[in-house]
Amino acid sequence: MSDTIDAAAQPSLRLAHGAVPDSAIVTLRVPARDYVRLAQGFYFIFWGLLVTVLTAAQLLMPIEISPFAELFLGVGVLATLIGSWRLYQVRSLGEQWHKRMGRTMAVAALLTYFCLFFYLWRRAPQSSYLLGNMLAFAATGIIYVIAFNRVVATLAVALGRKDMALESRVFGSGNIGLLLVPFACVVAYIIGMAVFQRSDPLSELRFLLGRANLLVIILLLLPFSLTLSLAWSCKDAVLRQLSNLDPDRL
Amino acid sequence: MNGYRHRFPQYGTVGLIILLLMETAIFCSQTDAFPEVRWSRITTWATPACWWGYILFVDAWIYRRKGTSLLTDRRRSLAIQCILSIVFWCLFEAYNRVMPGWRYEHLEADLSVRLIGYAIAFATIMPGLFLTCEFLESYNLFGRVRMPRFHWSRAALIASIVIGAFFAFAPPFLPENMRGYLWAFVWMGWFFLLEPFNYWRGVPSIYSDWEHGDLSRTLQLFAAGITCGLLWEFWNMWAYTKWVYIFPLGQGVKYFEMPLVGFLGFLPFALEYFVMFHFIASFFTRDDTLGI
Repeated sequence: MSDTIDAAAQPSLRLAHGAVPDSAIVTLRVPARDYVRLAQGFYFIFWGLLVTVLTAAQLLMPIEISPFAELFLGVGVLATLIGSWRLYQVRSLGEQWHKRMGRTMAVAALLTYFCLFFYLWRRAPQSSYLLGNMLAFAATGIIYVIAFNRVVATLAVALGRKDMALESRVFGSGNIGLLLVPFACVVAYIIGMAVFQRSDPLSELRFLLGRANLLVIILLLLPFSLTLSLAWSCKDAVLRQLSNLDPDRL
Repeated sequence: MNGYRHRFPQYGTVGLIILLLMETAIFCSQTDAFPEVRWSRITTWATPACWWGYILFVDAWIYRRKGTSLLTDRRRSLAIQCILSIVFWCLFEAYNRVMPGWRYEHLEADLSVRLIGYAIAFATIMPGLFLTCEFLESYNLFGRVRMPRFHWSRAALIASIVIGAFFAFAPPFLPENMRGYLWAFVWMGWFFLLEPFNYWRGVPSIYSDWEHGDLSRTLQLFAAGITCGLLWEFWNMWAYTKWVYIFPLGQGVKYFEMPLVGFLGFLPFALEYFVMFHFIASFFTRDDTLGI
């Protein structure tokens, strides 16, 4: 029994940068174990990112949260790292996929590293050093989401899914425009105020968070939630490919 | 004939000169020699200057003995070590904010200069430690120290991870008045947490050494940890920009600024840096680039 699921009726795909094939859906020419890795990877990343953002948002609010609930941040980040690692293990999708996934996994590793600082910052919020690292944690999270969109774009091209490829590019751009740029502005504002006005960075951050409008926050997080839906779609697309295969060839 | 087949590289001499010049500056600052010179401006940089001088000198010595060394043949590894050294120490600095163990005195007022100083100083920790270990290994110190062989069970390795996770993550969560006493946990936690993964992944591992009855690398790392600890404290004592220990344990008897009991921390610290380095580096390369 072959480990490789090949495309009998449909053409296999060689990945080319930016090229989206005309055919509606293309069967991937990847080993069976890579299907499992892809499905697991996207599943872990979906739940990991969701839990990370939910817990981190709760931890940023001035409400008491039990240490047990706090642990979910680490769980979410670890799930994201595991998911990224599973996707990184897929080598049969071409050099570009592997390179992009390598970068994404490196960002996931950084996210795990800065997650520790987030916990420590919660214990000493007045420390500018820890606050800086907490902001680095947030920045790494945003960069991860952007990098993940690029990975999805590569897979979408491989699957011949024009719609998904377009979505991943739009959501990626949305994440840059609505998350990364405003975040960079906030950090620049905090640093600027700390340097020129000698103000306390934590107070500035609290001031900005306190003034944030709920609708604006929802709007800013829109590309992120759409990216999550994209992760789920990828998992579904991979599973659909798997379920459409002739069982004899599995 | 001096018994060595390789020449002593010139950068080793440069390292020695840097060391001697900085020692002279420290001596002058303490004896009020040449009072018109502001020695504090020079001895502010004592720690990074002494450690980079030491690294150059020891690396050259290792080259002379072995014909290969970090700076001559493994510069990529040196770069990775410097980066990881900063990254790991930043993590311990974060612990230090939550469970104060030391504080710095007379830091540069200019933040950008201070950040550069931090980076240059923190980058020396890992290369300094590993080069000292390689230096000891080149003399085959502890090379014949053996212990009975045994096999790591899966349960033992999982227990190691659980204990390591508790040691590494629990101290900041505990009551504030307890945290200062728990630095030993932090110095051991990452070792217990990450070492089973190194063992399973087949990268250089202390647990694997113990399984094969080999204690040489462990003892070399212990000796390197203590040697570097002595040097850290020695060069720190009279530096203008320096650290002082504020953890509440054994502040009575001190070696320079370090309470004597604190020296025990250098033993697991050396193992911990070894394990952390291999855990991260193994994702990029499986070459044993440390030379130890």
